[in-house]
Parts: sequence; structure tokens; C-alpha cells
Amino acid sequence: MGHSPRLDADLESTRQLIHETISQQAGFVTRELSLPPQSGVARWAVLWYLQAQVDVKRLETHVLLPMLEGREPGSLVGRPAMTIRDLDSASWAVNRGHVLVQTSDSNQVLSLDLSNFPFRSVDVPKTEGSVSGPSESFTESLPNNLSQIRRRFPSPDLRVENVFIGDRAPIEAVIAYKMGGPTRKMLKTIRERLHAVKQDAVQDVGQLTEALSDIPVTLFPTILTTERPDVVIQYVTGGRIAVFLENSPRALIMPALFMDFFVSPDDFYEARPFVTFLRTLRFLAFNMAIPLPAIYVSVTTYHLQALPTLLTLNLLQQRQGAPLPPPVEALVMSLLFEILREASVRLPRAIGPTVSIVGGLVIGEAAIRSGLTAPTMVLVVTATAVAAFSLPSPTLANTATYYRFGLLLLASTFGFFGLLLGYLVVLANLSSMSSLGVPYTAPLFPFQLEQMLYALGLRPRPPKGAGNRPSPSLTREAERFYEGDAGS
Amino acid sequence: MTRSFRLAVVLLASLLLSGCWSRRELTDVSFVGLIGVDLEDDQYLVTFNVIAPKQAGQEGGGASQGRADVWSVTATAFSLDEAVGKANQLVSRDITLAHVRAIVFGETFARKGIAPALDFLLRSVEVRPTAWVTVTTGSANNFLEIRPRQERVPAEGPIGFNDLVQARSGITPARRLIEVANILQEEGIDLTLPLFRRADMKHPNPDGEEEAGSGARELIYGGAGIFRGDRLVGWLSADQARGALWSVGRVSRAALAAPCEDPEKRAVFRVRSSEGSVRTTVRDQKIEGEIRVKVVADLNESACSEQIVRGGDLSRAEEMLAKQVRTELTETLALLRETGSDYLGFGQSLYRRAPSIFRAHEKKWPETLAEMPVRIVVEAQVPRTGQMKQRYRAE
Repeated sequence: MGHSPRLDADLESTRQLIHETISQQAGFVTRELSLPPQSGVARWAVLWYLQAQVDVKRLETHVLLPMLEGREPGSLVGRPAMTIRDLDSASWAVNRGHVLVQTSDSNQVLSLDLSNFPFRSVDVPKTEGSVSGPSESFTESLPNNLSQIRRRFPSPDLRVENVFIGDRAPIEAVIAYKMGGPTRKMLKTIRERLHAVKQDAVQDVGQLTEALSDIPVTLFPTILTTERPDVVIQYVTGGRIAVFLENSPRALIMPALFMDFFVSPDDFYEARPFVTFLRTLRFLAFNMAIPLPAIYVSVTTYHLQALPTLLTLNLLQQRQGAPLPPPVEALVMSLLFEILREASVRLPRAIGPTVSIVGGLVIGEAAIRSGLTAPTMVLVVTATAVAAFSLPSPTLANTATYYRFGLLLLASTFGFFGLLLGYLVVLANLSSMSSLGVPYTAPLFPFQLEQMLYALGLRPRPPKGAGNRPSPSLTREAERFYEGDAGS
Repeated sequence: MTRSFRLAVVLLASLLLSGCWSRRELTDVSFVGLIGVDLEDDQYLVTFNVIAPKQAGQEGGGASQGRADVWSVTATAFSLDEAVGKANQLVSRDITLAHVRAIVFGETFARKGIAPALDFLLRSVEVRPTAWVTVTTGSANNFLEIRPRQERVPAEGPIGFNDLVQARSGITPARRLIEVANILQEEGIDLTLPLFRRADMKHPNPDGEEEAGSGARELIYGGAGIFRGDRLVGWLSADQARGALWSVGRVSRAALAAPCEDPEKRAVFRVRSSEGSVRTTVRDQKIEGEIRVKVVADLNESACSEQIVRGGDLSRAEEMLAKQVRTELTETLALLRETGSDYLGFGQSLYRRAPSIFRAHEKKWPETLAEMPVRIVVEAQVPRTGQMKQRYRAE
């Protein structure tokens, strides 16, 4: 903001400057006020604000009245007054519901926060529903979100820092963490990455993920997104860093490892044996959501000996007279399903179920009856879809979709061999990734027994002192990562 | 750029150079469930039991129910692979042997030796080494006309029986292709293969009329074929065949009927488990054999007029059981001596203990078998007598 005209001259020149620039906006109010004389000298003040952004009632009672009585401007406003030094800041402040004030005997433009924007009230989480545990979610109001965090974790160890993002239209971001949790390097990195964001008017934390990731474009998510304050606390107390953004009802959590994406909010509140079972189940579902159609295609086109005879006969019977070869059929059905999913997301809630009935039941049934596709193919595609839906993280479900199509193509041309090769690529990708320097596949690779047991729900608490933060040796891995970074 | 290029080269090379091009779709092939091998004028007469599921719309053509269409394709050739090629001229789809469940050798072929057929069967990448091997009396071609009533596919017939034969009634060892190959290569032990026969049974419906259809050509179990080397030399009846199993401890769940004091009445024991071993030792230059069997069986039925069980004393029952096992083993042994086929593996035991002595006797092993004394030791246990102790009497 350094290059805009400065605002540190007397009232007349400020008035002139503002008059020529930002006062041209619709709804802009310039208001003069005669103040009681001080030691015989006549005083007056000018106020600038945008009508719609300001709480007019408070303006009258808390600013105008006291000023007429001779008090300092802003002395009755709870939020502290800021000094505005240049025109860009002035514009920014006015847009955000501040009132600019300058008195005739001062060279300073003061900015009083009188904003009173309407916000959605706290609602039930939309995408991260849970059976047990609290059901509050974040809203678009940053102060409200932070207040939820502070209320739930009222500890002197909680640190909240803010960073402004963007050049000409800065938006406030906040990082929250527990003292002694993340390493200094992690914090430094995250601050640097936030500062490096040059994009203006960032609307949601989702837009920050690329800038905050170790590798900008990845198919696997390396940052956890949540709309639940309790989940944020679970991670923050465990040594992770949470990132909030003004106007965004979600928070980011970093570092986030592969295992974290199999955790559902309920897991924190359910009995442990059950959690172990569910996590294993989700892991299984993930491993089903990726290769199932590919396996079906390779079995029916290349590896006819792989199935029991009777099952093969059943498949053969279904496939008699099916016009499309299995790879094409699998591709068409998978695409059709993705379209169906996309359609049901787009449609308003009232018509949504219609799509699932028409798409799922009618198309599925008709496709089989008309002989376009084999029932098993429909079963495979549906089972895959259900498996993908069972994942707690929608991002991970998308990852599965990408790889599913990749593996399908490989399996169509090369059978199990291609499938295996594709899986190797997935593994190579996974094992080369990191989140804030922590190896993505930890605690599996590098293996850490206690962390692993905790991740599987087999251990009640994370290993001593570490929280569910990456354990000391993982942190060492992270340090090594940054050292390597600095060297290159 | 160069890195991704290198990666692409590696990936493409590993994909394209692998030779994985053999794409054959499910609908491009015809599956063979059974192979029958016969001899005809010094040539192989090979019968393939081709399976095709019922077409949609046909009667009973639901996805999972309804029997498959099955027919036999026969080809004559000097080698098995040639026969496969010739059979392919008779079927519109590529014949695949990946789902062969059982290989059936006809009697004449088996008597000339089965080894030549094994070369192809073991070498083939399609035929599973776990396919069952059986023999039949008469021709395999004729046998393959079976249409077991309960099976969707005739090939499942021998499978069901093999399970039944070995595990349930404990009669003769079922053999997989790989086992057959192994036994033929081992020293001092001969092969037995389960014998199945085609039986044209009548299935009258409740009105007493015979039902039409293919259900009548059943598959029945007939005992075992015994081999010397790779040649079939004789048959064991269903009752005789159990001896071979006793000696390797593979009898379980079989029902043993032991005669009471009144030889026309029986007490039946159901085997729970058995252990068995065959040993051949040399003492004072003399070769001696020993069969040791430990059997645990429950008393399942008793028609004896005498009391088998007195209070908690089961020794009488155990004696009867042991005697019955001994009788079966004696019969088996007699047959073994008669045919000269060492399917209990006395030779194998000797070869492992004293190879030089076995080598010395190898040439005239059947004669040695016939002469050598064999001790039979049976240890029997009857832990349970079912729900009753005493014999049931209606008085």
C-alpha cells in the first residue's frame, strides 16, 4: 500500500484529496461538524464514511454526540481507533465500515470501526455431520470463528496471529496454534507463504491451499479443511496449525497427513474399538474406490482364469450380446455416474432426489434391460461410488476418482500389469509428498509404531508429549526437508 | 522436462515391451470344463466338454439359475495341443483351458500310460495345476456325456465328488494334476486315481413316470484305479480303496461298519480323525513293512445284540473299531501284493531309509512286496457314543 498518496497533511488538503478520489463513490458521505472551541480557537471536524457500511445509530450516539460535547473522536468506540496514513488504506477502511475523522487542529486521519455487518448465525455443520460430538460450525464472521476457538480452548498456550493477504484489497487471515506445538520453522514457512499471496479479494480458504502446499498441484490433499471448531481444537491441541480467513466459514489445518483424511469428526467422541473398525473400513473403501472398475475390466478382458468357474460363467452369461467391450462399457458407466453426481450437486435440494431416482434407478435398470451393459458392470460402478462416498474427506474422494480413471485406462490396455504399474505410480506420488515438510505417508513411512497405533485408534492418547502432532523424529524429518530446501 | 520425459520413456517401455497384448474378452472364448483323453488307433481322442451359459431369453435363462448349455467336441490327433487346434475348427470361439476342473483318462489310454498327456497339461499356461485328475472305466468320451442333475455344469460333478469322496466318506485320495505329476516322479510309491463312472439312472417323478431331459446321465463314484508307474493296472472297489487313505492319515468323517458277534449285524463308527504312517525297515537283511494307524471315531449306530459299551468302559467298542480298520488294511495289502502296485509307498519309505537296499530290490520290487511281512498296528479310540450309551430297545 506504499505508493498511494499520503494522508498526513492538514484537514483542508485531506478533504481536497478525498473529494477528488474516493468520495466519488455512491453512498459516500462527507460530513462537517463544528466542535466546541478550545482555548478560544474555533474547531471543526470532517467525517467520511459509506452510508451502508456503517451502523448509523452508533455513529450518532458514540461518535457525533461525544464530539459535539468536546471529547476526543473515538473515545466512546470500543474498537480502538487507527491512524490512516494513505489513500488506499482510507478506501479500504471505508469499505469495511470504518468512519474516517480528521479534526482541524490535527494532521492525523483517524479511522473508527463502526461496522455492523449482518452475519449468518452459527449453524449445524453441513458437510461434516456427526452423530455424537458438538454440532456447531464456523460462519463467515472471522471474530465469531475466533471466539468459538478461544471459548473451546481457553488456554494461555493458544496463540492467534493475523496476517493481511493481498495488495490493494487486503483480507485478514489468522493463524492459530498451540505454543510448543508446531516448530518455529513450520510457523515461519506458513507466515511466508501467506505473505507471498498477491491475489486480491481472496474469498475463501480454499483459494489459499495451492499457495500453502509444499507442492502446488497435487492430486492428494495435503491440507485438511474443516468447518467444525471442535475439530480445529482437536488438531490445534495436537500441535497443528489452523488458518482462518475473513468471510470464510472453513479453516485449514496443516500439516495434514494421509492418515488424517480417514478421520471423521465422530472418531474423537466414539468408543475406540469402534473407531479402529471404522477407520479400517474407510481405508478399505478407499482402496476399493480406486481400482474396482479396473480390476473388473482386466478380469473380463485379460485374466479369464482369475475367477472361479461358476462366477466366470455368470459373467459370461451377462456379457452375451453386450455390444460394447468391457473397457468402453466401464468408461461409459463411470462417466455417466460422475455426470449423475455432478447433476445432483447442482440441483436444488427439492429436485435432487429426482435425479437420483431417474439417474440411479431408471437409467441403471434400463441400461441393463436394453442390453447396453451387464448387471455386474452396474454393480461394480455403484459399489465404487458408494465406497467413495464413505470417505470422510470429499477431496480424497476426488483423488480416488482421478486415479480410478487412470487405472481404468491402464487396465484396459494392459490388464493387471497396467493396474500394478498404475498403483506403483500412485505409491510413488504418495511417498514423494509432504505437508509442511512432514512426510505425507507418516506414520506409516517412516514407520512409527506408537503414532501408527494412535492413528488406527488402538492407542487412547498420542505418544507422550507429542499430541497427534508429528512426533519428534518426524519433526526432524521436516527439519531435514527445510535444510534441503535452503540448500537447493 | 527431461525428468518427466525420462519417466515417460520408462513407463512406456515397461508397458510396451512387456508383451501383454493378449487381450481376449470373455465373449471371445469358449470355456472347457472337462477334458477326456482316450486312445484311438495310436492317436489321442480328446473330448472337450464345452460350456456356454444359457442365452438371455431362453428358458430358465436368469443370471444365476439354470443349467449351462454343454456339449462335447471331439478331436483326434497325435498330440494334445493339435487336438485343441482341431477342436477349435468345430467351435466358433477360441477354446480356453483356463477353467478345466478335471481331466478324465479313459481306461485304454490309462493302461498304455498317462505320462505322455501330462507333458502338455503341465506345460500349458492355461490348465491349472490344481485341476483334478480321474480315471473312468470304458472311454472318457462316453463319460463326458454325463449331465449331473444337481450341477449347473457337469465339470462340477467330479469336484463335488472329490470333496465328498475324500473328506466325507474317506475312500480314496483325490488327486490334483500337480500331485499326480509329483507322485509319478517319486521313487517307490505308486499312484491311485479316483474312478468315476457314468451311470444312466432313472429319475421317476412323483407320478412314477420317468422324467425327460438330461438329468438321467449321472456321475457315480466307483472306487479307484491303481497304477504301476504311469500305467493303470487294476481297480479297487469303493470299499477296498479306503486302505490307501488309512496309511496316510487322510481318513476323516468316514463311516466304518464293523460286524458284531452276529456277523450280519453292524456297529457303525464315524471317524473324527486319523493318523497313519507306512514304514519299511531292514532287519537282519530282511525287509519288513509296518503300517501304523491311529484312529479316533465316535459310535454312531449299533445294531449289535451284545453290549458294546458297559458303563464308562469303551474298550469293547475300541476293539471292534481297531479290528475293522485292520481288516480293511489287510484287504488292501492283499490287493497291493496281487497287483504289484505299491500305492501305499513301502518302497518310498525304504528308499528314504536305505536307498542302496531299495536300488538293489528295485527291479523286482513287486516280488519283494509279495514276500515281505507287513505288521499292522492299529490304535483306536472311541471318545463318544452319541446321545445314548445303551443300545435302544423297544420293549
